Amino acid sequence: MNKKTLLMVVALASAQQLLAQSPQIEKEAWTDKPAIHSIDAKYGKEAAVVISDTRRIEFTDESKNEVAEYYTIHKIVHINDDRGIEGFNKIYLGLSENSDIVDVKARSILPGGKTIELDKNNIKDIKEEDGNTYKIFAMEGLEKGSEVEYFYTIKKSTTYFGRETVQDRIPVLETTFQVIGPPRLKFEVKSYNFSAPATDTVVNNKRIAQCIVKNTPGLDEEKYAYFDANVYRIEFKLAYNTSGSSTERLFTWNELAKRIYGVYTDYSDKEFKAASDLVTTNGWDKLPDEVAKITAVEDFIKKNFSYNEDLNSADGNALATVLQNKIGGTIGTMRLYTAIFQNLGVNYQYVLTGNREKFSIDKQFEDWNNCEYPVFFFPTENKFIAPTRPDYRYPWIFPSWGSTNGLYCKKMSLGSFTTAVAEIKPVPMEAYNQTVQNLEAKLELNADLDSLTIDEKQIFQGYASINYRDAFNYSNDDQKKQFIKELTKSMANSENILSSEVLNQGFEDETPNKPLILHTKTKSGELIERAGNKLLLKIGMAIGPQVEMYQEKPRQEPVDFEFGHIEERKIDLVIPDGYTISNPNDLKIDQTYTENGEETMGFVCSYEIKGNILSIHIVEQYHREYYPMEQFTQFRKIINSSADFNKVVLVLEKKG
Amino acid sequence: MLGGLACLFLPFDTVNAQSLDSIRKAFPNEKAVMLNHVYEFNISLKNNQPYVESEETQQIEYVLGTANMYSGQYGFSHSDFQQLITYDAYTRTPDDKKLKVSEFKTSIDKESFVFYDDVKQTTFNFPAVEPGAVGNLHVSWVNKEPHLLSPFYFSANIPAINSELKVTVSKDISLKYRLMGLDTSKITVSVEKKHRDLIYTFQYKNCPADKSYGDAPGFSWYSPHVIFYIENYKDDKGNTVPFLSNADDLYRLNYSYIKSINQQISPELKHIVDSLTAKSASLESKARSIYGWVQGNIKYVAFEDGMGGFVPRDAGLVCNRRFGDCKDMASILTEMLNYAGVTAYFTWIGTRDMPYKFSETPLPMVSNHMICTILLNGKYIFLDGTDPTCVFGMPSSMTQDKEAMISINEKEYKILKVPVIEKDRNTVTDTTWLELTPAGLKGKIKKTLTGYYASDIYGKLMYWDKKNMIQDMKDEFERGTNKFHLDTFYIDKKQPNNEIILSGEFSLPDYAKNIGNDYYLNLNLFRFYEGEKIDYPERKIPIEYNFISKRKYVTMLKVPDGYKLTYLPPSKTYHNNVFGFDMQYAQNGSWVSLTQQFDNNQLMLTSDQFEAWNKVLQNLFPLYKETLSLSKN
Repeated sequence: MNKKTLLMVVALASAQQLLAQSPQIEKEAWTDKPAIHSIDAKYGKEAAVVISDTRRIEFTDESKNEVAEYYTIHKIVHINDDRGIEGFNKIYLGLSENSDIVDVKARSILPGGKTIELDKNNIKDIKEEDGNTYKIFAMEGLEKGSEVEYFYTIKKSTTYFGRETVQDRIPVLETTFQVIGPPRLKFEVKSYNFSAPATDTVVNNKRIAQCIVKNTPGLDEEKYAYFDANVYRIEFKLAYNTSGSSTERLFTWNELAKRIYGVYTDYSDKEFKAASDLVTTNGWDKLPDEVAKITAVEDFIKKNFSYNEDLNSADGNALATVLQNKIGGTIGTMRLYTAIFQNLGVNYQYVLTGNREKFSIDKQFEDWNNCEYPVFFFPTENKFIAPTRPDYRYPWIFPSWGSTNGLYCKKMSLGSFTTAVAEIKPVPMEAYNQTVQNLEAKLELNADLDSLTIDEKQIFQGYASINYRDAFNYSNDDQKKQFIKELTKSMANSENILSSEVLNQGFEDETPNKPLILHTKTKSGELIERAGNKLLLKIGMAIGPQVEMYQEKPRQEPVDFEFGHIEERKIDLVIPDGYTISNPNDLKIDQTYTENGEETMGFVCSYEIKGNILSIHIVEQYHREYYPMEQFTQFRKIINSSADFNKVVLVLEKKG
Repeated sequence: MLGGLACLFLPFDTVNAQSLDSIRKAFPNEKAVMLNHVYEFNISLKNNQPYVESEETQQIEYVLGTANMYSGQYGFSHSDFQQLITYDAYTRTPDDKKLKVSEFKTSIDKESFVFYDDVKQTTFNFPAVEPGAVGNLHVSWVNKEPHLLSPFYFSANIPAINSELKVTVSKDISLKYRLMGLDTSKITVSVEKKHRDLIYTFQYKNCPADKSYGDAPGFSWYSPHVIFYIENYKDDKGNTVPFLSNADDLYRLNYSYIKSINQQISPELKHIVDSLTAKSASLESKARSIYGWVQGNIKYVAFEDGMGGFVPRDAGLVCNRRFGDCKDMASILTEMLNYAGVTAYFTWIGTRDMPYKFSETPLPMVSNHMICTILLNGKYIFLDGTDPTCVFGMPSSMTQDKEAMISINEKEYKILKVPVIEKDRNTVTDTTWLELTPAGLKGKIKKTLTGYYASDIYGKLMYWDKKNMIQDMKDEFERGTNKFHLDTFYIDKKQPNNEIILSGEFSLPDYAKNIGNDYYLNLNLFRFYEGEKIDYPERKIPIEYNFISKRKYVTMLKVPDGYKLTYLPPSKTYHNNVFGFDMQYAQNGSWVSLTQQFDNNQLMLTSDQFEAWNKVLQNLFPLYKETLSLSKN
């Protein structure tokens, strides 16, 4: 073989290798001589400023008709102070288990112009407290006034959807977001919480959907606000594949409903039979009505089967395995309920919901990623259950999955074939007045007038009861005692508990909405003070410390709550013989907001004195989960009214 | 109840669901019980070197409640030093079926260019968890670094019927051990000869579950555990080879980690030291500026990785990177100071998280931290590079009262105890001036902090959001009630000793009560220690403090014109051998004042002191309820 042919062979081989290994994805610009950016003085108090933030998701054709997905992020950050250094001297690579790093570059650009490039040997794996593993590297040489520039490209397991958060606590001067793919693949891009028109062009045989945002302000965490839901966010999805003459829209809601139906009903006759055995063994088929069946099945499964959200193997979620191991992942658990409900003839629909603390389903934009949590909907009762939440029972589901859109998979039969079609509509929450956090207390001074005996009931119903049920049921005896102590201390200001009992703590008590009651008797010296011969009773502390919003920065976000609810407090004080209250009118607080004739929120305190009993009645209520910006001022007044009540001190004087 | 349990203990293989009822009786409120936890080590010689293998068996019986109340999730760890050989897990169901765990999850490196390899966690779920089910786990490892054998802890988050460490040692190896923890009286130790081996068995039957308290010191201070280590061994020629027999052996090992670094100072570092010390006349001022530069410019970033967890990086590299872990900080400090003519040494130390001493257990695990020690004017000064706001001359608070192993040279080292900084050097002096105005209570604050208190504030100031300082300062100043509103503030930094004075003006609506012709006002704007009564005698675990201190809070109220003081509460002082307070009321012209003073005299409060501590609070709390009154003339 002569020299020339050898060269030919080598050239061909490398060309082939090039094709096989490295698809022609867009490369990030990496300037040879980066310069420090000059930053507007108005950003002087920011810890750091993001000069540019580029995100690119690129889909490429690979062999065997497969499409690969590459994700690139490229940031340049100007650092102003120690906080900024701390925030950017460690860079985390967001990487899931099934991704590979294709390329990574990072450098520190120092004020003197020197740059220090990242040595790839210094990229490490760390396991964080959240259980995830990250790649991490540290930026070298950073000082105030430096800039950090980095990008990485990872190859992900391909999904045709995505959600990118493009706002943070610090300002971003320019954000560029791109979805790139072969010309036949048409992606749609939609922005949330801000508006940025997207363009769609074909350049060099690549289709590019792009949007650019300038001067994104920093967003801070605020009380009663869902930061994750309020930040600027961009979502994308594959909408069309125009190869051939197809104009069919892809990844529609109907298609998702159909797939979900297929997955959750995927079990063999033998498996169905095994699940059916549970029905007869437990006598569920003999139960009188559908609600009795649903609640009995739910209670049984939640008491006897474990749910593990990390269990996602096909085998682990096969119905037979779930039945044997008594543990299921999301799919396996849904199959278990399905098989049983199917056997019992329960009328149900699958509903997928988002979590309004973070994201919601948008009817107009079919991002399947937002359909994260499966629940069952029962059309006859118009109620739900949450199979993946062992602590929630019919009709209660995790509150942030409600008051937001759901994807309802409505069953449809074509001959012997059954599938489902989609309907997007809100998942209603249970009425606000079913969720209460009440207090009934009786306060009596002892003979020496230096302490109080407090007999009180803390009463929880509905959504508000569930965290407490978790605490009482999942704790051991020591922890439970400690928890009772803390709860009592926060209200009665005393650790001196004479007796305590917890009523209706079981999760099954949620279905009839039986109140969870913590009933305690305490002796407390804390609420009573003396000034010479007068007694000062810090009655305001008897409702426990309240959230305050006294000294606030200008509000950026609307008000979000987990759930609407009522806090009704009835406090009876036995006025000691020979004493009178000098300032009962200090108890009067009336702060309410009315919208379209409905009092949607308020804090109202009134009292009456009958004989030697002072009866205080407080109704604090929030009917909504959401109050818009224009109602914030009023909302703040109401929150602060309850904090103001904490400061009420009654003066008891000897009668005249 | 626990005492009667001994009869319950059955040998490993006969424990089964039959005993569920008796276990329920013995542990009426526990959701799960460790039936058996056995950790076995086998230490032998291979190629004239100690060779260690280990295996662990755990059996957990689920006792009470329903499936969703158990966290069936379980796991075990492994690393380069403790490499995994085999593992196996299954559930034995109440009807005696064996269900094997088939899915294990471990974080694994996939990237070829990543050398990093630290402790990994493998997790799994026991299937079919219900009352009467028993989860079984068996894991084995080879321990690649026999200097680093982990201690065995007997207790877990559930009670254990049998908890046991078994160490089999071949005859040519000498093993040493030490029992540690608050109460080791329940641990039985036996040594048995078998063939040519010695078998050490450490057993704790009916070991109660751990209790946790937020204010407790590190686990190793109180949880019962065994530390065991190879003292020496005989090689094939019959020579005794020291391994970890005393501090000399440990020093030899430690020195091997530092011997080859910092051979030559880098030009950049040289330049930095030259410019920092150009104007310094004394060695002390040189040392101060170098320490200050490292504190300000080298950020603490820790990546522990295999042997890199022991070897400091070269000072020049640390300088270029502008970050490092504790070893790197010790390296750059030592290098810079020595170059500047200040005698500086690498130093190993254990933080106050751990109770260990080089003199008791000469093991690598005694130290989890490195600092730099300098010898200045005949005195040793400890410099911790990881604390960016520590005052020169003071050790970092977490190293107080701990033994430091100071590397003088290849052959020589010193073990010195780091001093505890006197309480007079860690002070808060806080004065509030209150005035009753028609718009409500208004006031001024001056708060002077020294020592560790000042360091803490300097640390916070570095990281507070500059856009929103008023909120952070409000939290720092808040008193009276949460309706405290900070109007202005000012920060006065007092160098070189890092004292700091914070001042501010505020309003405090709804605090003073005005009824008719009278004002009622409680001068206890602060109610320290409320809710801090110790659960005595139930609690046995000590309480840890970062430092000892003196605090003084003065609250002054101007009596408004036309009013007179009608009730001034009585003063009181109470001290016992543990703790105490002074609460003094005074009237001086038109000002009334309350002075509250508290001293903290110990770094750790132990259970024998809890009663006396509570006694102080019992005397203190009634004083918080004293309100003074003013009446119109």
